[in-house]
Amino acid sequence: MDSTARELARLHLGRPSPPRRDANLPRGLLGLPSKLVNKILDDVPTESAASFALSCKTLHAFISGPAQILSRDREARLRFLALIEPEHPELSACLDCARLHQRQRPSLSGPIFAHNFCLARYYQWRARSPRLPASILFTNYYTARHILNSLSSGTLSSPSFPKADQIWDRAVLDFGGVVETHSYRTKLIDDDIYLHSTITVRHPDGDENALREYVDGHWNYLVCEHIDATEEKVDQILPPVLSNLEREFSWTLSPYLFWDIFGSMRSCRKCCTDFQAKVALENLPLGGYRDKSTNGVRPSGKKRYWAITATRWCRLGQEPEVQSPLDPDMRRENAIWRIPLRKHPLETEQPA
Amino acid sequence: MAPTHIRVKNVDDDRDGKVFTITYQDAMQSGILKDLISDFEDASFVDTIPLTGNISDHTLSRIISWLMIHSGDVARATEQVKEFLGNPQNRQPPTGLGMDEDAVNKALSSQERTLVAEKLKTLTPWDVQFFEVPTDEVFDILIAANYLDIQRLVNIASQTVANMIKGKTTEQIRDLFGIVNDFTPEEEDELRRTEGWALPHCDWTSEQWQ
Repeated sequence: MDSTARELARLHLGRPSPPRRDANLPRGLLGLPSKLVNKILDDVPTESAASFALSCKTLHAFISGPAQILSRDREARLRFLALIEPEHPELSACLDCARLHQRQRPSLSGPIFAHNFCLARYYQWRARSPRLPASILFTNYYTARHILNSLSSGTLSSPSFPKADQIWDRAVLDFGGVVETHSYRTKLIDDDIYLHSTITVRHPDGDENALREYVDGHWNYLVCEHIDATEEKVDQILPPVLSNLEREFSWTLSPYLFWDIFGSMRSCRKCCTDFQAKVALENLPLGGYRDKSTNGVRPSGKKRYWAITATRWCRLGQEPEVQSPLDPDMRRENAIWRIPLRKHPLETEQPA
Repeated sequence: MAPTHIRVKNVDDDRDGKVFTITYQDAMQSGILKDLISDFEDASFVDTIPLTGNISDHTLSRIISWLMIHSGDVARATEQVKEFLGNPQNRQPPTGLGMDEDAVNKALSSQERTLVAEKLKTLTPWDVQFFEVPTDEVFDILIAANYLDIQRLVNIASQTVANMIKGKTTEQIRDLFGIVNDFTPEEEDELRRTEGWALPHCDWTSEQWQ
């Protein structure tokens, strides 16, 4: 190649050549012209761009936009928090204010205290939902936040060994005679902590159709994030795993089948949840619940209630790595909780 | 008269690179080659077009292979778009469609142009395989494509890098691109606080996100 043609090429191009490869110049991504970095960022979602900007000072100085965009877009901000939260074990994402807070250390003794944001949220809910009593909102929210928190992959703060086998939260709700009872407790089985939650709806009319109408109309209880109690999908459930652990769960099947899932213990295919729903006719003392028909006076005697009970067991793991069943690790198909569990001693006992 | 084949080679200050021969049609996809060809067309003393972009022979060979594969893309995309829009009389692309993208653009309506552009942006399985190379090589291709003014390759390479970034945590991005974290822990804390991502306690109010 003669020098004339080379010079001609340079002149005709009218643009500077890219910088030569030099050991002192940054290579790779940081060596790209700003125009190309901008072009790449055009195809990157906001939360990923924010995560990208945090990787070094140069990129942070270059990408000044994401922080401002994230302050306007709540959904993107939550996705961003979910992205960076696993890298900061000392912080947990708050769904309410969409920020990271200092994670509280697991408490192994003493009473369970709610976090500040939990209380703040509770008051907000209470203000917005006058129909629902505060106790049930608090119970639901507390459980959702501390047990089934989908954003957090860190250690849970509430269940712990000293609290195992205790009912640690309970709420009773009376809707003009229809009574809902929510209770949660942790139980220690084979060194693993399990969360046991029961929701019972009792209808005083003695008519199973009235109960079913109430459940269809008002009950939106979710067994887990994959299974809606009102709609069963066959591919989402498996034969029970956890129910083999305890004799108390070898229920006698109810002859009253509201839905197919009723009666037997099932297991979610995707997360460590066993569940059961059953229907029963119960004789309960009337004095236990206030009845509007008696003008607030507690009646004596007993009344037959149709009751529907949904029971859920979630395996949370061993302390101190107690995890939410919604954590990615716990949701893996080959997660450790899926390994066949040891049989209960009572079942394996051989006669002498 | 336009030549059927073009010879290009890398030219550096101290060495000449390997000579590559590509078809005229393939070369016309590059803005810079197009300019050079038009400039050198009458200069009979030049038989090889020099490239001074510090592109390695390996990168240049890969780019030329990309140009060869994507040679008739514009014509194909245009035909598909026209078919999609239901204009049977326009199924045949205008003359020289495969030769010059400008001619194609002039012959298309704005709607057709948008659809063709969208179609050309899509990553094909071949492109995905093409970029299954070390990250540094992807950046080399991106820089070279930008220098050679091959907009479609720039778009596709940028999209590939963007796909690498999507859904990654900061640490994963650092590992992937070999970025050194030059923030001190104190600076990171400060960053989280000043940009409003972290607070010791929740100060949420119902009006905040409404």
